[in-house]
Amino acid sequence: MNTKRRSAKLLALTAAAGLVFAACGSDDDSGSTGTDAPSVETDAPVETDGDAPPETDGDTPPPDTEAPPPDTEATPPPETGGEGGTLIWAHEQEPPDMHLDDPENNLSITSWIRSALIEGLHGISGSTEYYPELLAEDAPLTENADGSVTADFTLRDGLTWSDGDDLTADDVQWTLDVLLAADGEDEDGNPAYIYLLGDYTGLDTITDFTVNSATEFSITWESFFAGYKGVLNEVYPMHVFSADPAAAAAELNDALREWSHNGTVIPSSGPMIFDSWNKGVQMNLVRNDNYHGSNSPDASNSGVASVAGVQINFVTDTDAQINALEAGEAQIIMTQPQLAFEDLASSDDFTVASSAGPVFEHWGLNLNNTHLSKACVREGLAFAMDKSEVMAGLYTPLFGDSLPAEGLGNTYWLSNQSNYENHAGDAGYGAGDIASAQAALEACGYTQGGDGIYEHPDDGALSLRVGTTGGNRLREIQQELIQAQMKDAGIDIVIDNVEGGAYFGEVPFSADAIACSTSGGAEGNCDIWDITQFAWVGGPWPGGQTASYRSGGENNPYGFASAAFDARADECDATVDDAARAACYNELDRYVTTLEMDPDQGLFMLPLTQKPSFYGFTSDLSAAGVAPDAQGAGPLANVVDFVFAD
Amino acid sequence: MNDESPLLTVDNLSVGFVTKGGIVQAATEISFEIRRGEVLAVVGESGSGKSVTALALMRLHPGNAITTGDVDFDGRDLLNMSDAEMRSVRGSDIAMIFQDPMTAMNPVFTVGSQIVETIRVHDSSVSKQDAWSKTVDLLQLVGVPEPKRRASQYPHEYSGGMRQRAMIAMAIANDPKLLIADEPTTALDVTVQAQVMEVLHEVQAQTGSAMMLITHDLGLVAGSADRVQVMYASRLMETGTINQIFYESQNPYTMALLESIPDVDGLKDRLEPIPGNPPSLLNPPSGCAFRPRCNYAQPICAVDKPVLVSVGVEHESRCLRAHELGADTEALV
Amino acid sequence: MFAYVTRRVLIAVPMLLVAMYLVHVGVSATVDPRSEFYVCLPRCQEGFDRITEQYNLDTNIFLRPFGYFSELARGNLGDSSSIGEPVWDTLKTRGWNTAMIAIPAFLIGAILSLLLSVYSARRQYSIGDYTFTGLSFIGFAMPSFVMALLLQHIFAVKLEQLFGIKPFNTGRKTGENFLQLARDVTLPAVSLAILGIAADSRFGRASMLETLNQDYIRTARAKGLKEGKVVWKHALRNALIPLVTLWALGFSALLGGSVVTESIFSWPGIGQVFLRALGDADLDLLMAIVMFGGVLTVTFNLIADVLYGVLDPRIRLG
Repeated sequence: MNTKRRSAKLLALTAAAGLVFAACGSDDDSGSTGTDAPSVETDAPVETDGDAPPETDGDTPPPDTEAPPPDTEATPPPETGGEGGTLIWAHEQEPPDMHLDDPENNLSITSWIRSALIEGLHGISGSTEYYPELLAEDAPLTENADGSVTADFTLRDGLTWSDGDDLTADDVQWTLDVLLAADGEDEDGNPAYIYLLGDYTGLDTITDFTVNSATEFSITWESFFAGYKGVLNEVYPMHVFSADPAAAAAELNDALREWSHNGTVIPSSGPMIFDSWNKGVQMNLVRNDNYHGSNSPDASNSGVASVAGVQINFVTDTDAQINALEAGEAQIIMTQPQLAFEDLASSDDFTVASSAGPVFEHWGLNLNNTHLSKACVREGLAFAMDKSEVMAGLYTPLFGDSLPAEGLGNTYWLSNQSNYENHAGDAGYGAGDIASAQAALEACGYTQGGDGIYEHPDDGALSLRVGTTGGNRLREIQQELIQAQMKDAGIDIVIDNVEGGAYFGEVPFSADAIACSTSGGAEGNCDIWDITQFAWVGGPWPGGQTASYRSGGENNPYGFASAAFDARADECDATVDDAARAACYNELDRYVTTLEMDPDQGLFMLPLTQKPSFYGFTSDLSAAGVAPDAQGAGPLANVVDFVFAD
Repeated sequence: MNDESPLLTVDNLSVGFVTKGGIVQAATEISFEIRRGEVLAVVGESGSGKSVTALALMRLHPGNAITTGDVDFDGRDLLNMSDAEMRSVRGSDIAMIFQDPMTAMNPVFTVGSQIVETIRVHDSSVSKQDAWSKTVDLLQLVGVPEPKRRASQYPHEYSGGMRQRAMIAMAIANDPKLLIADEPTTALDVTVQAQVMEVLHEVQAQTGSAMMLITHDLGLVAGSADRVQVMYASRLMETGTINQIFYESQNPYTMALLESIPDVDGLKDRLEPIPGNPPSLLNPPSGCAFRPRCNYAQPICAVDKPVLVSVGVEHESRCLRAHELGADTEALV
Repeated sequence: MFAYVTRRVLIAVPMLLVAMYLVHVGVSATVDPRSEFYVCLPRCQEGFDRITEQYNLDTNIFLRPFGYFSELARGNLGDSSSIGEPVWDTLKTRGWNTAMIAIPAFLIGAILSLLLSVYSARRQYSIGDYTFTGLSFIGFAMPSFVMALLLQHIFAVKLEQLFGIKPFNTGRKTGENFLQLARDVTLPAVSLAILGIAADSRFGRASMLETLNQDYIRTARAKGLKEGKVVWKHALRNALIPLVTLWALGFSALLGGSVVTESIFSWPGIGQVFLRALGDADLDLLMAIVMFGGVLTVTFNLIADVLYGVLDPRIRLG
């Protein structure tokens, strides 16, 4: 009896102590984490990768200098840093497999991991621009008499695979052959996925590939292809696969899934080698001691990586990631914005950094809507919107001072590339200019009704639906903020989202909606949607996006049909000179985001905001000058530069 | 401690319950004795304190009870002995039979095992087999047919009367010196009641144990008790031999109770229920507790509290007019 | 008994099929496994068509489940697109992982809720009773992710920061031997257990209180039994009966995987892959998990019924 009573008392004591403890612990962060943050960040990632249309730049990091010693032993290093140490990265997303080009599997995380394993002709820098990765320099281009263009490429000296074999022009040619051969089915009748989503257009216009030496080769396109730096952004090791391209395509299609072929890990040309993958738990990469060095303009280390390897821990919950970081179980995390980060920022033990992320949001307008068909209404929307308020409302509470000051008010193309200009901003859009918005509406016959909402004598009240993939709180907040701004201007916005991933397929890209768009409103159903909100994932070459705006395109739900735009887009893509081409794309942007080029149909895209990427890492991880960035490259882009103190 | 000394002597026993409304006095200054082998019937309406008294003897009342007084059982001080000592008395020297046999046995154990447990808890030297065969004998003794088979059945497989027999078997398993039967037949069918009482008497006679028979039914008492004590509103009202109580009662409450029993011989013309309700124990009436319902009440009854007075040999009554009542009661109304 | 079990299983199978049918229709109506393909059409037409064929997407949504069922009848659970392996493999490995936290969670939960039930009932309205009542209401009201994060923060982060001891990991199944695994398992198991304890101990307390007021408990005391035996033998056995159903259903729910707890502790179990399957429109895996959950529920309901009969002789299964 007595002992029983005593043990029960002990239990009560323990429980009470736990509660007190909990109370103490919660005042610095747990309390806040419990409130709203999770709903924001659990959904966002799925959505980001899920419904951002085209533009995949699964890309790669850095090269430089010579090849160090031979042969590697895949040793999974210790759990903690120091002594070379293993970099532990806690990340929320785990890919189903490593096959990037399977449409079901086109995730940023896959390309981020692959960027540390396999290099290509060009890489993408922190400022979202191409740099020669396996190449020694930018290739000189020759415009031939028949209109074709030849690029003479030179590989860097001393390129090597992690297994010691040299990486030569033959590997490049073989890779191209495999990709071309993969455009079909394997023996079982399954589609060979390689390059299903990638920039195939740059491949099938190649008319000639000539290997001149081990390091020199020339590629001839039948006409200039502006996105040429994006092709062959991964070069595969010929020596471990069949020489026959078709057979190799089938092999590679399998090998890329688990990153191994015939039981052997695919040799790397990047700073890391794939080591092991415990599904649901972690993936391990080990240092490539044969690495030829990074060529990235961002990287300061030109040799092999300092860290002995990278361990990617799949930690689904963002708060758990922060806990893992604080508990020393991870050294770097890259997450959605959230309050707990402020605590990390205030601690000497951790460093936080943020940069403009690769995902940027837009509102696309349906030109076949009775209201939106009027340029004045579109301009009214553009004027009424206040992007800086949206950003402040969305991100300042989450980021505080660590919010990157610039770059979030993106344009049609990209925010932080020097070549591209903010035309919508120049036109005075997105600044919450209510007076101009109302002036625009009144100019085309709208009058303000008793409830403050504008009405058109023929078309009725100015009420528009905006839709996107539901369940993403960050997007919903954004919609609500803009909804309020529009209301101030007298425009009624109804939020009409569809839960789950079905939104795009069922609403703006549904067969009826596309039929309406491509037929100029004659067929299909033009009433399915008014405004659609979606995101692009940015890359260094914006040309791929034009497909969405070309007349009658399957990916153009807006109803924009301009022969002038189509022709100009063709010209832009054919412009060989980089600066001239950028200027041309800027002109295309003016079709899309302003009324300057096409006063009738222009301005059917309203750029919103660019989502910031956010990092936290332990302060003993010296990352000076290698603040990781997400521009299609991810945290491992400059993995060579990560160094642990001591 | 010879055979002449009383088996149980209760002296000035009071039991109160602490409740939100104050202390409820459930038994007040109870004094009585039970002699070896005799049957003492304790009679009263519900709430009169008879069951509380019995539970207090066993120290089985709820935790919020305050008990004072002295209880001497065969030379042992029941109220002040240790918990362990008290446990050795329960089920062994004093055994109890409860009112509702349907709920008094644990539904998840066999009847036999519950009796075996009673045997072995007091004498662990008895082997399980021996205890089991003793159990079968006991069941046979109390008239359970096919006792061998029945022993391994569960309580729900028994009828009510059969269960009470089993309870009796459990109670006598350790040859108790005192058997407390708390309303042993109340929950049973009338036809079964007599059988059970018969069994109770048989075993009591066979084992020679004393019995405290608690009941609200004076009719049940008639053929079975040696002495009777009547309780009302937590106090003893009258004590006496069976004849004294039934034929020479000098207490208005007892008399009223007697009026309310159906007479098996059909001698009585009509039953007289006692008017009114028993008083609140939390806030008892002034003076005599029975006064509001009493046919013989006088103004003085509201002022003076009656005490037990001797009205004959071993005959006591709590009534201010006890001595008058012995004579012509009709004239007193 | 055998006839009873057989009958129950026979009833359960069509119920499960109906439930799976509804889930299949429901999931088909809300997710489109081809959503990633729309953006690459027509270039990826072949892949698009393959998925269309695989999930019978060109047939009526109400007929589609039959295609799935006919594959199921052949023992083919399909392939998981979100995990990249056969569904059966996923179910096996993830099911086992979930069991690794579910079993300790169940044991901790059952034992503690039992002790707390008995304690609270025995000492009704004592300080301890009030404390546990308060705690269990907190445990009850607190969202499970808050609870899990709190445990994680206190035991895996704060203890180390304040005292330099780190008894547990923030989760993830990485341990290779029993001790290391125990470090991983403890926090998720405990946070699952707490949820169960909060509810079960309330229920158990009520059940125990009711039992302790029964006449047969007084009988047991009147026999001279020690209080311990009265409580742990006579009362407990009866008080357990209603708890058994609760436990069985709770255990089947635990084995079915907890989405929240597994997510927060990065535990590679059923709950975690369920979330992934949902996000990735992984129809085959979703169906398999629903079926798994259904089978668990039916099985444990049966076990509860059988145990019920064992514990309470008044109940005969027939």
